[in-house]
Amino acid sequence: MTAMPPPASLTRATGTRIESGSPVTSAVLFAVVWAAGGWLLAGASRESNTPLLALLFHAAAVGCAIHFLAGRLRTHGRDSRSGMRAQLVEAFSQLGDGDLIRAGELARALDSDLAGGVERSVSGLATRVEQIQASSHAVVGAAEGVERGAAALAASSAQQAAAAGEVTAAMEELSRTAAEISEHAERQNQLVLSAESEGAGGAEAVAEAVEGVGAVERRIADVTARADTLGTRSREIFRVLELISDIAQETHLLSLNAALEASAAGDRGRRFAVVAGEVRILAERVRDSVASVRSQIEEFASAIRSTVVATEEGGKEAARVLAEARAATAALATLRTSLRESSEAARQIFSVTRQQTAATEEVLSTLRELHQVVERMSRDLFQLSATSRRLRTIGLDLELLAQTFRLDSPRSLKQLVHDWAARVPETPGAGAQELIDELVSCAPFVECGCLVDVKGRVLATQVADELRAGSAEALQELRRRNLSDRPWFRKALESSRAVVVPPQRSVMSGEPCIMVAVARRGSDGQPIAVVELDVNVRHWTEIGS
Amino acid sequence: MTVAPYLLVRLGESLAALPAGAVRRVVRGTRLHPLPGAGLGLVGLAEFAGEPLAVLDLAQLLGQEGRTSRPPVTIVTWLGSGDDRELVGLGVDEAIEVTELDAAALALGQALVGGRPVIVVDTEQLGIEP
Repeated sequence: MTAMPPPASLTRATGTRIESGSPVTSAVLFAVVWAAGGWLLAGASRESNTPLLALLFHAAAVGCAIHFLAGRLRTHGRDSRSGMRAQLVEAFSQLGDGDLIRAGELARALDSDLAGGVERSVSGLATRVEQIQASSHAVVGAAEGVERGAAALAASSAQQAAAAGEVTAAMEELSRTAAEISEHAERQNQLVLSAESEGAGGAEAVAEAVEGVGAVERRIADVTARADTLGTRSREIFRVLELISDIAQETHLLSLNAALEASAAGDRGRRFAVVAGEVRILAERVRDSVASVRSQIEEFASAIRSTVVATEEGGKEAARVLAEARAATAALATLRTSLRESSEAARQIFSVTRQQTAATEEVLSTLRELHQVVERMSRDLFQLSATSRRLRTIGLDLELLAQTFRLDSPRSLKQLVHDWAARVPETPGAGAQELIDELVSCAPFVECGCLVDVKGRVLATQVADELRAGSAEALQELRRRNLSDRPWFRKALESSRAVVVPPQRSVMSGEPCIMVAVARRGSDGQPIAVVELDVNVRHWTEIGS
Repeated sequence: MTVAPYLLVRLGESLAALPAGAVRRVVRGTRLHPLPGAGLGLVGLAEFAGEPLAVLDLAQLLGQEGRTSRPPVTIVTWLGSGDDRELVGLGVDEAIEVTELDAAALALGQALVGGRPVIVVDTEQLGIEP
């Protein structure tokens, strides 16, 4: 609902007619004119000795006065009725503008019947407006509560939805991982079984190898023993060869001595010398043969020694291989045991992870449902929060609408600002800051108060205590500013009523504020200054408390 | 061609020939007793047929490099001639054989056996120095 424009022309026209049409004023003016004319004519008649002129003047004046008074007495009855009607129209006009106080004041000037009716109407309307104010306060408060709760619930449910989503994702990952583990466990089991089978074959092969190496070791020991025997026999052969060689040398010497004896015997010994020479040759052949046999036996002995050394090394190697093969057998046995245990563990893992996968799927299904429910709830709560904000806005609109009425109530902002404006002295500069300080300190819902002169200059300003620390700079800026171009300022100067501006975001607190402004007018009705209050919407309910 | 029997011996790398008629016996492994202060060529004393026998180094007697070890073979032979002859032992490395050498070659003091030169030892002249 928008306020009706004030019928200023009607008001001014009505006021002028009432003053210019007053019989008392007319009588006084007439008397003054009459007295002045009489005095002038009396003076003139004395100088000219013509008293008739004065008499005629006074007679004409009396006639005019009688005629005027008769006329005035006739019209007074008509003017009185039309003035009453104008008063009533003005009262209703003020009522239409929402100024119930002024309407009441105007009504009191009517006759008792009309005054009683209008006052009852004004009083009833004021009561309804106050009820609307109270209800809108309650709506705003409740809407704020619901909005806060819904917003908190929406935020927490959004977090829950996000958390449920994360848990679902984690569970899905867990499920996938469990499936992979199950698959890996199955594959591992297959591998282990295969490895176990291979290990069994390997163990048999190693056992055979151990057996073979053991046989080789025994053969080597046998060969070593035989080689030792051969070495011993070789040494015996050497001794025999030494003996044969010795005998051959002795035989050789004997043959030589025999040949010498034969040569001493001359021709008789010639045949003997031949025999001795044959014996010597035989001995030499024996010696050569012994040397040859010795050489061969030495090679043979050397070969045997090499064989013994190689055989001994082979025996050592065979022993080492045998020890390693036995160790490998033990290791294979341990490995097979471990493989069997590993296979069992893999089977258990497979079984457990299958169960886990099934359980996880159930949990996942539940979590998905939960996630959907929480998301739905979150959406509903956001809608509820938005609805609450709309409800709060509607409540504020209602409150604002109710505040377009000026009531004789501590909850009426217009009346409040009127009361404070009435306290502004005729010379507004003096005590202005103290007045604004008092205003701000008395009204906790007032975030900022300002007193502005008619030129738009800020005479005094103050902010609420809790905002003072953080808004010193903004306050300084406000003090330096000229507000003459502000629509609310111009409107306040033009109108005798308070101006209410819909909520705007405050530069001090950042919260929505209603601006209420009214001009302080002097006794001549001209504006002296403008009082402006920024009322914090959130603290509205504290009005009048 | 006139030939005579000789005992062919080896002295290191050289060969020498002793007249077979002067040689009494070839013995091996004779036990030798060294004599303190013995002169050059005297290896020691041995026992032969129950009698002491002076054993000389034939190589040193022939003006060759003397041996440092005991000779493995001893040739028991007569040195000198007539009543002045002495039975001594001559140490050699090896007694090879009794062979017959050409007298003409022997007159020249040289002979060849198997293509190798042989020192012919004149045992009568190789007697003990007066």
